[in-house]
Amino acid sequence: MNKTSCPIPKTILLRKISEYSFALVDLGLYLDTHPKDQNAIKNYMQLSDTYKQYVNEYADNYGPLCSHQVNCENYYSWVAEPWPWEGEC
Amino acid sequence: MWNYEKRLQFPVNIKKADPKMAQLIISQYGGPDGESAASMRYLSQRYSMPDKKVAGLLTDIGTEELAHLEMIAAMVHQLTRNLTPEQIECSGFAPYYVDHTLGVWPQAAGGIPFNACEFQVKGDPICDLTEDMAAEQKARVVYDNLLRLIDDPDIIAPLRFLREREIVHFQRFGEALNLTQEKLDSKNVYAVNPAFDRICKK
Repeated sequence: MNKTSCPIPKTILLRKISEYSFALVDLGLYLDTHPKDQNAIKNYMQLSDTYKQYVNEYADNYGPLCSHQVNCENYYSWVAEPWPWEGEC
Repeated sequence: MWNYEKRLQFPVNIKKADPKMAQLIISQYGGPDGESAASMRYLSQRYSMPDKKVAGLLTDIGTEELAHLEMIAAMVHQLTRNLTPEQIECSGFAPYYVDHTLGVWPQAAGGIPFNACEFQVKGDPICDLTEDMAAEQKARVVYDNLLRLIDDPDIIAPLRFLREREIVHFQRFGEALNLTQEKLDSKNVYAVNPAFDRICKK
């Protein structure tokens, strides 16, 4: 955990994840009521690919965003990092 | 089912404690137009929606409202953490503190506890979607009212984000109402319950 090899700093990577996730949420609501919109579907799939890459990169370098991404031996890393409501994330 | 993602939908980093403001913002945690009522309303209404698109929209907006609920709780928490007994007394926070210390409990700004009567599940798609549109407008008004009283940029940014989401949700619920009404036919000109009355289903 917390390897130094990741080219993107933690806060910037988390911001990217938030931005792409938000775009997916917002576009997803639009698609709920416009499921035939081909441009929106294409856009959604592209955003989704990039989002998944960032999420995996984050989990590999800075710890799990979801509990199933935990990768640890001696201590369950899900409960090792600060919680989001504490601020600074 | 749901999964938890260890991040807020929009960042909340409040540096300065402000228990007076926490007592107002907590209304969006457990108040009449708050995020608890919003998520419970949409997630409960979806079972009686005949249109798959509308049921999907209620699922997705109901889920997003849970993320908003967490943002509001983070704001209340950060505005009240590390308070001294003096700050608690001077800010009018003492009545809340007596019952909840510095925990986050769902209540309205006036102290009224969260109650399922803040929302309805009528089991009639047209009725429920009309309530949903009004609910988004009412929540938007609460955010407008809060924003007029606040000058800390750390509080303003997340509240503005939440206010904008109310407007987007209002738009989407309007589309969902149109989709539902388009499915009605000439036998149901008065738009009675298409989820219950068989003659009204298409």
